Amino acid sequence: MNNITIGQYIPGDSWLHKLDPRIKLLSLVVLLVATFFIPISHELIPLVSMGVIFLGVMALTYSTGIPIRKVLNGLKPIVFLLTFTFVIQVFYVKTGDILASIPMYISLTSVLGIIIFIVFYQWSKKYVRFKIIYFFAAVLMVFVLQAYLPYVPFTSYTLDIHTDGLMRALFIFVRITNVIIMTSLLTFTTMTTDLNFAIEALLRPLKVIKVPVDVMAMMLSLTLRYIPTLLGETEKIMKAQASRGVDFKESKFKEKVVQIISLLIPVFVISFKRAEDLGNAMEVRGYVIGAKRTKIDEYRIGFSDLATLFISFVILAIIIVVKTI
Amino acid sequence: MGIQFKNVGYAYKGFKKSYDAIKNINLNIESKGEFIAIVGHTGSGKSTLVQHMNALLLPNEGNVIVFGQQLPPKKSEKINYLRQKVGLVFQFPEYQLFEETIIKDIMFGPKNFKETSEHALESAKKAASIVGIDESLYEQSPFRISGGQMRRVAVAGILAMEPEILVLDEPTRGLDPKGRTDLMEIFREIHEKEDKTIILITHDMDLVSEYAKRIIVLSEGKIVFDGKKEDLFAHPDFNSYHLDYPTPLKILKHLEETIGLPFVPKYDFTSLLEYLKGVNHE
Amino acid sequence: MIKIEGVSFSYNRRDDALSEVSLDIEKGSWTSILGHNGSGKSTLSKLMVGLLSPSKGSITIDGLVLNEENLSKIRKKIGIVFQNPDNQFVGVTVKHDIAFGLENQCIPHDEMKQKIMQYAKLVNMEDFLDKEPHQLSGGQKQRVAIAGALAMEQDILILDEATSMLDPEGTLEIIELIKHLNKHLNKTIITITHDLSFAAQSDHLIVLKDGKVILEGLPKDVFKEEDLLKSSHLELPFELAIFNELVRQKPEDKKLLEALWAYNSKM
Repeated sequence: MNNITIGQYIPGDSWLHKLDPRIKLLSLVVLLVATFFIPISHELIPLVSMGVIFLGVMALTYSTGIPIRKVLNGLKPIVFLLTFTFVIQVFYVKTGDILASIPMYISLTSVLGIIIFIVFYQWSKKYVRFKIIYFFAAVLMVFVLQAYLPYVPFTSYTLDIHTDGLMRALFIFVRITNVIIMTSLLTFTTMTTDLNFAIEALLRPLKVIKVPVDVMAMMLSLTLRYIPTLLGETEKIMKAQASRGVDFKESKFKEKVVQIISLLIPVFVISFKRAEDLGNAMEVRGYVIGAKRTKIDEYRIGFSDLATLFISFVILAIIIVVKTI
Repeated sequence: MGIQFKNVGYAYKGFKKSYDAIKNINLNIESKGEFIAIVGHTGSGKSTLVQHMNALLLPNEGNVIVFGQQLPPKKSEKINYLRQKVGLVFQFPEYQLFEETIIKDIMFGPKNFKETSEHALESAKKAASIVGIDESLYEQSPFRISGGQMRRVAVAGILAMEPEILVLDEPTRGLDPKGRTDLMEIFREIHEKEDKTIILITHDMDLVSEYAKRIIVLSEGKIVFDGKKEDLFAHPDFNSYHLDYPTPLKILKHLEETIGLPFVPKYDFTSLLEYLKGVNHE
Repeated sequence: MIKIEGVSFSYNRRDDALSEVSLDIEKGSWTSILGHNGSGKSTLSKLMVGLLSPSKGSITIDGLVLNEENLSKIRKKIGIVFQNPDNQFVGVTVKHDIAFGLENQCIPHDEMKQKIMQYAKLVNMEDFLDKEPHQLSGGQKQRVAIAGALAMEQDILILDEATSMLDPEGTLEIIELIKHLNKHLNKTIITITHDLSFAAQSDHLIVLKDGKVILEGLPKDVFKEEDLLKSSHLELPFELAIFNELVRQKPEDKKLLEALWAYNSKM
């Protein structure tokens, strides 16, 4: 029996868990808009606002009972992006006071040093617990090496770190982090079926312009229902074809193409048969596309839901007002 | 040669805890002449066990030795070749069909094991005739034939690899009675003509009774019986295995209870018929 | 309750999948339809629930003629459970799947909740309401499908090879459930199967071959026609085959034959 759960839902009892999913989704959208409304700048007010949002997000995380580590791990996929934007800002913003002016050398020794270090990093990273921090430290190291190994130089440049650059970099870093964490909090505290319902509810206004929201919701719901089943079937087909000699590790590229086809076609065949059978089953059970239906799911909007929504809009309003000052 | 299991254990790593699928498995299977049925309740570990025989799964504990190859293998050893030596037919094998034509699909297995196209074609034709797929079907799409025929094409795909040991996971599931008999007779013939070792997972005790010589009973991941079928059904612990008696034995027990017919175990149709014809009980 | 008169159907406009089939199914009965693959059994079941329209002839269910207008009314009377447990399980959880038919019927929310609990209990799945389909066995999924049909208050239930893909445990669960539905809840049950041991327990048997009805009647009468059955790729179950063979070869041994028949009826 499989124990796959789709999505990142972590069961819990916090107020965020109990919030109506539509409210959560809508509030998230409002807060994301608010966060992006704060212009990228090195000035005090935007920076402080972003920092305050960060603190708010951390407080929110704490209140859900979900370990902060888990939430921060959601940043893993975008570590590169974060570092890249940070570095670009530091390098290219030339306004503001100069904090430091460091000569950097691209030399034989520094290049070699960097290569050796990268190899060391790749090998050693599996032993380190805080992988994201280790990554940042490694990036830092790459620059440190350029500063301290000037021997046999090819070329050199001066790294001027301006305060503005550092501030902007920090700003963007915190903003991306905030956005990711806020979204993660939604997916951690909301079951996939509830999210599905929330998306459908929020899209419902589109019915006015004849968008088939109900049908789309049914399609989404069916997709969610079948993902674990399909995964299981794909695994079985992989094993069946492996028993006929398919081996992704020990084969040439040309063979790999046929091998992938040997996996894809059976999955397609199963899916088409499934679609036909499902269509019949749904029809016999009285499903008519576009017809009115009641719903078993019941969501009630309570005081805390309205309060949350209200607060989100207030935050948005404050930010807009401050921006126009 | 053959297959040996030495204290083998395998656990599935679940989300929060691991789950022992099989444990303390010790087994010795000859490379020729055996007809083994593996039985046990759902979830007792049968599928997990047989997937170790062609190295689809590698043991967490203990060792499996397949035709001299130790599993788990050493770092650089290639083990794909074992899948040709031990042919495994999964449940509902018709799901593995994908090629444009039936003959191409049957050839898929042999070609993966580096056989030349000519040789693969030869093996495929031989396998097709063993399962009763006529030459006229060779160029047809495997998706335009009946379910029963699809199953036979899938089985042919494994037979074409000319494995030394054949492992079948519930090969008759979903087939109608005639389809079931036809398929089992194909396996019986392979076993008798080529002295091939056949290992069969099944829930059908009548199939076990009719075809198997040796029975391995799994319960909660462990082997609780390994021996001749005659010994299994007479075993004092039989009830703890949660297995059904095969129909011939059920009939004989019933006849003993109702008309006092002396109980002499018979396992298949012909021998039961002969016995009942010849018996005198007045 | 179901009257099928002169029904023909063809998938490809050349060969008839069903040819001039006529039969009656009585209210509260348990009928088994037997036949080889391709004999037209599935076509017949699809015609009965209105998924297909006959090219000739008519089908009447509880007085209503099966046609486009009456379709939604008919869907409230007759339900079907198909062979593949995964390909008819629509809901994300057991609760949602049983609810599906009720939602389509626009049943109000509280009534839905009560019905779901009631019918989940009937099929012994009340502890599984929040479970997702991939956490269930085949037998459990089929039980949920039956609960879904029952919740729609359909009095006629067709089970189209509903146990073919199940293991013996699952098959037994479903057989016990069907017997209960028929004997205690008076549901009209139609089972489509090639398992004669299973069919032997029903009230009425119909055997199809190449789109035509070739045998009909009580199980014990139908089973006497061994040759006709064989020509339909149907095999007598072991115990019946032994019985028939002994009737032929040792008819004088009445005691033995009676005892053997008793075993058959005990099933």
